[in-house]
Amino acid sequence: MAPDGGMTPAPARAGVATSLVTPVRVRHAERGATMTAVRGADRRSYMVLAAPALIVYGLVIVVPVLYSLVLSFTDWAGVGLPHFIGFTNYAQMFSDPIFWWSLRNNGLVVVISLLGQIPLGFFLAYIIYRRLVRFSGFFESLIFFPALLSPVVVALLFGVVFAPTGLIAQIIGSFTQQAMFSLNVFNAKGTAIIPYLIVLLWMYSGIYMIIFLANLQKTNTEMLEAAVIDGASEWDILRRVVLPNQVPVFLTAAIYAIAGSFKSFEILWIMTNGGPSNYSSVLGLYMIQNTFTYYKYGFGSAIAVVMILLSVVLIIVLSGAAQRLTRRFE
Amino acid sequence: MVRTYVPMPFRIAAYLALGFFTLFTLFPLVWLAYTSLKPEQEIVQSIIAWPTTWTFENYAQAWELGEFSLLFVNSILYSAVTTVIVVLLALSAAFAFTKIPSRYTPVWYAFILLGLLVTISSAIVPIFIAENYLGIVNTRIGILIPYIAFNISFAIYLAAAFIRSIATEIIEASKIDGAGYVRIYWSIVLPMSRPIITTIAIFTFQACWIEYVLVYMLSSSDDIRTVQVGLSLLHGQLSFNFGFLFAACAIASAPLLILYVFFRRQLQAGFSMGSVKG
Repeated sequence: MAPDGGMTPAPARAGVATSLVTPVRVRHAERGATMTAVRGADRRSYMVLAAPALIVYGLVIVVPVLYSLVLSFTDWAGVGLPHFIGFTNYAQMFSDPIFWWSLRNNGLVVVISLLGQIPLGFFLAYIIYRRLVRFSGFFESLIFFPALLSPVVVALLFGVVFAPTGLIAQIIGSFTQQAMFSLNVFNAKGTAIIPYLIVLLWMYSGIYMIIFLANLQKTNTEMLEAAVIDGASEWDILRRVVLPNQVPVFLTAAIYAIAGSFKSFEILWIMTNGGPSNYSSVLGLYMIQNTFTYYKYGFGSAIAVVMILLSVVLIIVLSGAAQRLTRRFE
Repeated sequence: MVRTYVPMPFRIAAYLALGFFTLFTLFPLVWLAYTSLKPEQEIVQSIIAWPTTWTFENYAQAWELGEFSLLFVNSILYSAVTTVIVVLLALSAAFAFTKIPSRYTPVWYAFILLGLLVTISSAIVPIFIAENYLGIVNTRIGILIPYIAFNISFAIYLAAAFIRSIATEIIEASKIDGAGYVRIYWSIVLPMSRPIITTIAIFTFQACWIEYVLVYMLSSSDDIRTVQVGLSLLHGQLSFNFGFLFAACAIASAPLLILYVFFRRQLQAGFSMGSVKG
């Protein structure tokens, strides 16, 4: 697999989303595999092998998502028959301040990924890759571990860490000699999202480190050797040799970050439940609350549709940029 | 690996950066671990202090009150069954997509990969309606089916990347010898795919173990819930005793720690291939 090199020619540059947009290019290499025409038996084999996965996936994911799309144009509230109400849910959503505040928080999550997790992940990976320290495997395995933990455990742990009289409050209190120090980060509308951003930095920077490490280990060492022979300094190696090669990986990482920002909300759900009064909400949580707390199924579906559309559009834009840049650097 | 002469300040900066971030990562977890082993009266006195006496009382209490034996059986059952089925479905589909020529493949593959963007929450309402209609809501099978479906896209993506690298000549040769694709899949491709099977299996098991929303929404009785849902409900009941809460967290995370110790490479491989997270 990717990190230990060898077996898989993992798509170093084309990430999930890149191949998602241009599946035809990915397939091109295999096209010439068999020149024989697809015979009936082969077609049957294809169906036998591919159908189970396609059917399960289609019935349990695609059909419900399409059904959500239909529901998003109705006023369905869980009971009775849904009535078609056109774009009313969407109009209502776009005039709801909570929607915009949640979108702003989603934006902050993306920003913390782009300016926090991804650069941090790169620098940690670079330090390990260039063997600037000893015991790098030890550091690597510790930094990655939080990424495996469940959102429930992380939310419960950090709920206590950031609580008014929690871990951080007590640490600050003991340093400043205030026994009754209380941390009010969760209570103020402007700061309620900050603990979540710190949690994301804590939990997922390791994933980006692993992504960069896998790609760094795959890069051609010839250029690096040449640079070393020519007497390049460590700084020049980083700036002129390594970084330009990693530009497509940065973009792939950005795509993961955007897709991820729309997906995860469980930690916030348990840690703050969006409070105070929805100031720490994100779109995923906004959707869950409207659906399962207020039983506005139609409205909730409209939020889900907007979330999927937003991430698809952002990813298409980014992967277009990724491909262009990949071509320039090759 | 080529190494330059690295000047001392650069080296110290590297140690500081890595050491600081490792400390940042480790500290909350170490704090959780020792607090869970601290007697309650000591926690009341100070939540930071290192314990003077060590106790497993919190663990015994959490295991008992949280009914973790039942939750563990459920979590292991869902995770194990899902893992086996996902591995089989994903490998066969990935084999068809990469090695059997068909002009429909790009469409199917793109269709599958779109699933990477779909969150459980955006499909859960219709799934609930359908399961209610079929009478399988709040049953084990009703939980297993979405578990499988939501793990299939990424597993196919991983499997396709691997099977693509298997030499087409091997498959061609068997074709000429008269073997059908299904037989080639069973007797050649599956045995050759052992490395990716381990990766997909470990990765899927981990994803199932930490799953929360799905079971929370589709279960209403205690006896089909998982560790994660049980843990979140425990929090609602007894949020004041940190030691107890943290012991429950440690119990819920123990299988992940074991998995990480033995299968670190596979887990990291899965994540580095782009499992989409926050």
